[in-house]
Amino acid sequence: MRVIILSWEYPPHVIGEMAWYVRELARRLRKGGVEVYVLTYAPWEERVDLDEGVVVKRVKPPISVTTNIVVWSLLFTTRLQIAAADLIYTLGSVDVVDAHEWITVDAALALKDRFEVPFVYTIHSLEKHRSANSAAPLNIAIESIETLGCREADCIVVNSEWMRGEVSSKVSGVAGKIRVVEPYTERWLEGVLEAYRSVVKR
Amino acid sequence: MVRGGVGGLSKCGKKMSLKVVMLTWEFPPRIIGGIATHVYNLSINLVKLGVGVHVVTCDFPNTPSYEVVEGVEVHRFDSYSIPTPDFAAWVQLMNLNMQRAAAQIIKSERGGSLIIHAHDWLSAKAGIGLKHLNRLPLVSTIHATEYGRRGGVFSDYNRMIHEIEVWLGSESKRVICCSRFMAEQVNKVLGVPYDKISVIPNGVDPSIFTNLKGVEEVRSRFAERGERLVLFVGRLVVEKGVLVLLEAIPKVLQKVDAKFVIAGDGYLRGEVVKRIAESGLGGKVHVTGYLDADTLRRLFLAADVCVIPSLYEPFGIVALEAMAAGCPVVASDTGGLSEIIEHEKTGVKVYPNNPDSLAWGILRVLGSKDLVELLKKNMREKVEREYKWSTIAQATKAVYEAVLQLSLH
Repeated sequence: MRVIILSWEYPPHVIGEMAWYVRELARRLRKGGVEVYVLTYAPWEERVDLDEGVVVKRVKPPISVTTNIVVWSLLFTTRLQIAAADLIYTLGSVDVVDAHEWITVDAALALKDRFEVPFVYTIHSLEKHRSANSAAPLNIAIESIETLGCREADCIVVNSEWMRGEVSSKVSGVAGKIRVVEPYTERWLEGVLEAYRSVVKR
Repeated sequence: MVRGGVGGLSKCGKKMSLKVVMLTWEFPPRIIGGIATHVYNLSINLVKLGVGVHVVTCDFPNTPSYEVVEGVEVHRFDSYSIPTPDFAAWVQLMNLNMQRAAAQIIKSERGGSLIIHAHDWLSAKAGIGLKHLNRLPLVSTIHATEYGRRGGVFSDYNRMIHEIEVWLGSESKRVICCSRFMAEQVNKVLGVPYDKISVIPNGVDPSIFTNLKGVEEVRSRFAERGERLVLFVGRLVVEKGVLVLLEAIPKVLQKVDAKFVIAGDGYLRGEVVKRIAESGLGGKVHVTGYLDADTLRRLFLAADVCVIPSLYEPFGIVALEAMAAGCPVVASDTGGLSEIIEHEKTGVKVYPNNPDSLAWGILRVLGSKDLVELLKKNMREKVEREYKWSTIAQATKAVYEAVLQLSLH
């Protein structure tokens, strides 16, 4: 199996826990025999690294300043789209795109629209929790991207039963495609692989 | 295996149909700036030349999501009407949906020769994404720059827009500008090399001014018999030079009896009205706000002179409209206007930001019947020769063909 993981955090670019989570997941998948490509943000120059067998490609957004994270992320994700498309043209195909958090939803959608690659949406947290239900335009815009990602994803991965409830009550009609996979457990790798296998077209 | 790329020629060497996907944030009836009219006229004239055109644009109330307008396939997508933190954020979210809508069209069009054509930074994200995902050539038209609109790059917001424009310029196989002035700005400010830039002017359709009834009636609403009529059409913003016009008006009125119509709206409207009242010109100047197209066209026909005192003007579409209507133009010698107007041949040029010079120009036209006759004759010829949409579409098609040739190698 060949997977592209999209995440704006990856060590050494660490904002929260997600950077470590994505790296650990990518390494475990690689050890489990999966071909793993991580496309992520380049805090310095653009480069490609091999991290314990995981190919990590870091790209920069086309802008050096921004007025808010929504503009920034949507320009960054076009660069992610380009990197992913180049990879798909080179490799011939990939089996699944695993997009982490709302920031990478745009890229996963573009890849699905163009290449019909199944889209797994891994949700670590929701905007309503991060912003304490703020209804500022920034939060509304981010929530709308989360909703779009939930509707369009082929499978949604969350890390607890509580999050399953939060996501299914936020977006109607998606409960059936949510899978709970607890990270850092014996069952982690198998749970993620089951999620991937459930959407792979073969 | 996935296959990208574009084939200008089929396997048997037969030329395949040329199609373009136009990405524009506005298309009639959604009209916000000048891009809507531009893309509309360009598209319908490309169709007449045998180019297939898909326009992908924002939705609009009571307008179908798909329709064929004079052979042009128009696709309207959900333009993301929820609140966003700022205009730039809305533009990117709108582009997300624009790209998705265009992706479906491209999917159904594979096999022929396809071009993606983006208009301004407002469709940069979608255009660049589609280019790479489908490995298709991207052409862009840069109608104006953030640097030019603001007179520099000052805030983070300006810089961000500027950087998106730089990105669009660098990702485009060819950049179309509407004047040599804009070509120079796109080269100097955005860093696009000259060999990637094509200058293709804006156009005008002279037939919109033929057989119009009620011109005298419109004239009589604004001017008495015996009064000359001077027309200004433009947004009421500093760069359009409306404040320079206000200073020139008393100088003109010292010599001739005239009424001035200031048509258009903008943040300076309150200031314009206040200054007119303070200078006692209230009886001589009409500040009309935004006028509907029917009235405006009749005003171009009714006016004795059209003034364009702009300080910054990438092109100057008002000059073309006046010329097509046969209304003599007095314009600042700046930007695109310098290229459209030949002094005392197709109009009268004056010094920018100089009320004395502007008043001189207005009086020059109002004072010489011979000059007016000469200008009218030359203006019509120039419009026919250089600014017909069929000519512009032909030049644009040639750009597409050149770009497809490049893509084959």
